Amino acid sequence: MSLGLWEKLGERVEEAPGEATLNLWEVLGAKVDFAKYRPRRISHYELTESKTAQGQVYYMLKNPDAGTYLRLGEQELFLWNMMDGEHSVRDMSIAFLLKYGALPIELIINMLATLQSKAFLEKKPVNLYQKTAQALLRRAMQSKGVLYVTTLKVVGFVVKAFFWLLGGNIVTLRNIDRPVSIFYRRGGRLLFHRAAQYAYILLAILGIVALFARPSGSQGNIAIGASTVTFIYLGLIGTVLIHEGAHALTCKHYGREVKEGGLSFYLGTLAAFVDTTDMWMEPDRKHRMAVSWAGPYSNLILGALCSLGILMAPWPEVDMVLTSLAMVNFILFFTNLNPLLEWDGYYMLMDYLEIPCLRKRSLDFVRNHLWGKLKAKASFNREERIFAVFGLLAGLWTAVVVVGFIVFLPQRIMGWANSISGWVSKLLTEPR
Amino acid sequence: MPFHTPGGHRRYSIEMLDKYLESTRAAPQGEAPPVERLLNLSEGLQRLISRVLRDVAFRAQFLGDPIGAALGAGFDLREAELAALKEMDTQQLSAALEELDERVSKSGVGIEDLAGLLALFH
Repeated sequence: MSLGLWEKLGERVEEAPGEATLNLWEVLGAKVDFAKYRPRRISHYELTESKTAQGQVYYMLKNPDAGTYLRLGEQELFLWNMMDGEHSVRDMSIAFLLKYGALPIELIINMLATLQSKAFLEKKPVNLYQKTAQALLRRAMQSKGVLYVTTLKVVGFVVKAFFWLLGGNIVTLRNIDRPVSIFYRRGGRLLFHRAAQYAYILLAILGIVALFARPSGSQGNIAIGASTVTFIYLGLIGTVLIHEGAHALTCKHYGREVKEGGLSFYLGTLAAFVDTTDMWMEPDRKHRMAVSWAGPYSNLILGALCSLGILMAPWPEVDMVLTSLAMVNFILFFTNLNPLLEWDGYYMLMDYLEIPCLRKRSLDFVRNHLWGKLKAKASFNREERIFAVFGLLAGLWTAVVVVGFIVFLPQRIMGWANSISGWVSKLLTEPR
Repeated sequence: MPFHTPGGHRRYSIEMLDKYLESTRAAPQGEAPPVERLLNLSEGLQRLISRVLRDVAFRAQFLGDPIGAALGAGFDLREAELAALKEMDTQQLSAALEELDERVSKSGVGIEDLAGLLALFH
């Protein structure tokens, strides 16, 4: 027969002498006493020092095993250095008081919670919500019956599918850093040569001139064959791969790791992605911005190349393929620079303003503080002004895109089906 | 020795960086580093800080009036410690600790975009 926790504890208390019972309370007291807690930081971490444009020093902390990052100030670094498992929270508070003349109670509480959640402390975080949800589901299964639980599961699945279409991964390649590094070493680095940089600028200028110089209606009324569609689509896939490759190679150029890549959905659109989060460890914000700029810049150059190619196109079909690709690349160049969604322009703006989590913090400010401050006619500091303007614009733009996604979802699905079926039937019926 | 990345940028090992950071924040000559100075603190101050950390109501009282709260609760403090509490900044510290965005570049062209593009030619 198995005993519950309380029965077991009861037996132990009865068995043990009185003195031992007292020790138990002392041990329990010490365990729950926050002042006596001795946090121990992880042993394997990376730290870089950086400066804002205003000269303020900050530090980037990375857990290479968990792939998590945090930004610390000078005072947090002082506390971090004391988290060696030897010093208690009380020791840290007194040391901080002696050095900075203030008691960092809230700071330590918040810092410990953040370090714990980002796996920077030896004690691993527990996914409490997932475990609670599983326990609740099991309990519901026992008390409410199978039909109730099945309905819950279906609703959960639909909600998950909706959020997956808004921004979930389809295929994730975790070890792409190695092939990208090899490609960079074996010739990719030449793309960053000064001569190549001048060539890109020249190409972009000539391409834009060529686009406007192109005679109108040059394709005439030609029938679109399956092979034309195939070439356009292959070109589009190439465009996306080059865009993501540009980010990945520039990340390697600055010596940082490309964490992963793959295919995902973003606001209902199929998208390729690369994760260059490791660029946070790069102290120079211009380098971080260069990695974000590389993608749209590749679209500008590809668009320019296609525009120049149109001038030399021997057949209308080639003209059509190149015109399509030029248009798509120029559109992608501009859409990727839009900072109101999490495209490349957003990361560039965030680095320029030196405000991490700009989107999240701005939306949070608009939701929780903006109206209160406006009502009280309180003044806004620099960050608050940025949060207010960016938060309102980003919130509005996101709402428009999400509503558009929901309203036009049936048409999109029909569009996908029509495009694929039309393409396949043309492919089967087209004379070779 | 710093090593070079494939892009030709200088990088330093964690040990070198730690050493550098440690040297930049070394205590001035003659002044003991804060952690070592902990050893010379009175029992009273250590108990006071423990109480401030543990007791939320006392913490609020202490942040309002550090000296009054400490003496009122019967903590025995040295003169230098009382002076340190008198000069203590009781304002909320501005935290520089920040979580960071995942930097995930995305680019996509859906089939429906292709259909729209082709429609331009009809």
